[in-house]
Amino acid sequence: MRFPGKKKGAIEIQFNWIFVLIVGALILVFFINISNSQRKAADQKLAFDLLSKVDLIMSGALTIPKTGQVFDMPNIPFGLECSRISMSGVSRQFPDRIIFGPDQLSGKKLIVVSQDWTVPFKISNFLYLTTSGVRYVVVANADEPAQFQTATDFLNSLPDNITKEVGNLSPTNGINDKNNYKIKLIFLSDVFPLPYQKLIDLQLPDFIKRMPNSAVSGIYIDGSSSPITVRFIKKETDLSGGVVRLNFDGEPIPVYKEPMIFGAIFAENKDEFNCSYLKAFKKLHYVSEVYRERELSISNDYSTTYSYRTECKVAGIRAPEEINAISIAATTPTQSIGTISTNEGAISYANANALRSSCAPIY
Amino acid sequence: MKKSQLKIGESVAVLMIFFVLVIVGIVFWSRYSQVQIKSQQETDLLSQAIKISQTVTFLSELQCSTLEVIKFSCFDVYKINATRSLLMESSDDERENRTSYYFDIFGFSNITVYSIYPSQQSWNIYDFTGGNITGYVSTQVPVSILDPINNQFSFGYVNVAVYTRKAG
Repeated sequence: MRFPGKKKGAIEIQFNWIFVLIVGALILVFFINISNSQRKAADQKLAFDLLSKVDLIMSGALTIPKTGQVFDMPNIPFGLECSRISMSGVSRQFPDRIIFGPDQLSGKKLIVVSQDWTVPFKISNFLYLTTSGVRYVVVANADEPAQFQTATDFLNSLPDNITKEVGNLSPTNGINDKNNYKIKLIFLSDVFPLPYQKLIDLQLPDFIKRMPNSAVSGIYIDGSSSPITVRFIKKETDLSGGVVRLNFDGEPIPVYKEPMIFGAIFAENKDEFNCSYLKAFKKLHYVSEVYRERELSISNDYSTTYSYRTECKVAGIRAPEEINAISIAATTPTQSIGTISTNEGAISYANANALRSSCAPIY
Repeated sequence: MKKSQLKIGESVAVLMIFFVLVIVGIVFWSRYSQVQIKSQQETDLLSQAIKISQTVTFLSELQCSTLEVIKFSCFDVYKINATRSLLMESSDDERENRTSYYFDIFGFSNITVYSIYPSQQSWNIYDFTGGNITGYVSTQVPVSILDPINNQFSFGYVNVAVYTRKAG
């Protein structure tokens, strides 16, 4: 019996096409997933290779202190946090390196500067990372020539390759927008004394007001105090009036020697600076321990094996107690900078005596 | 047999063969990747050994110096002894903190300084295995060793062995 207008074959052909469409879609999804996972793996490999390159650059910079080098980089931002650099979910840890820099490094030029920190023997090299996109402004008024000169002298002491200038923050004739992604304002106490109210009331150029708060930061270096202190400054929006202003971030932090002051200039904020600051003093503690043990051994040998070297047994040639005092003081750095400074002087004096007497130097 | 049923059978057969080929391809690719990963792991281990040996060579705790001038590839024998004593022999309250601090730098490794001329001597300044060792990769860096009292140099090398460990 035939059923006109209804063919079994036609229904089954349609089913075949539906079947093909479903399977085709599944195959497509399968291959799209594979290509996505391969793309993620390629991104991670790129991140890994770039971070390896940065690691190599930092290793090279550490071996040659007091150098500033500029490296071409692909314009892919990577993050920096105390002892870690990261990109696209890949990170590298540097527990032994003391690094200061902004939390995000973005731009085609990576600038790496290293300086050695000695107390008085070499403790470590500090690494400063930045890019050409970060702008460092030493705040001073051109109408006051003496202060402007002081600011300029300070500016010249900063590494050459960074984007730096002296300028004032007047909204009318102050610094201009140069399309930097970060700006760091440097206030020196003998150029721009900054009590709290003056900071709060400081007028800012419009382009700085428009920048995200995290892109603007500052540092107040108080050279009039002993020891020298640094105090971090942040940009904030006053919630009550919507006023954009600068404000201090935390209390003043005592610093020891120029490399640490530079560290405060390059660090992103107070917390990042604190992390590297404590690492530096921890390193000072452990290196001092080694020097202390070394001193005790040498003193012992001069009393026994080399007892004929009477000129090396006199007082003022060795300094194990002073080194020990520094090692202990390094465990509480914020209260002990004065102790470290005093004992450093004594160690330097003893070392000069040792060298003069042709005895084994302390450092 | 109906023509359409035959067609569906053909489609299913083609798909089955296709998926078998894809699975075979994936199996070969994963085997190849495993070999690549193993090779990469060995390269990474060697890189780690070289990195640690570079760190050791520039360690303030070992380097020779006069005033603030550092002598490259030179270790002070008194500093070597002091570091060894602090890391391997001391039992003071600070030992755990000190071990933890240097573990962050050196990891699972063994660092030994050898003097080979004129006198032969060795100092094992760091050793942390952590158990479950399956092997090690080592690298050597030549150094001179200074006796600051006599101002005499010896020739030697520092051996850095990075341990490979069983997972888990």
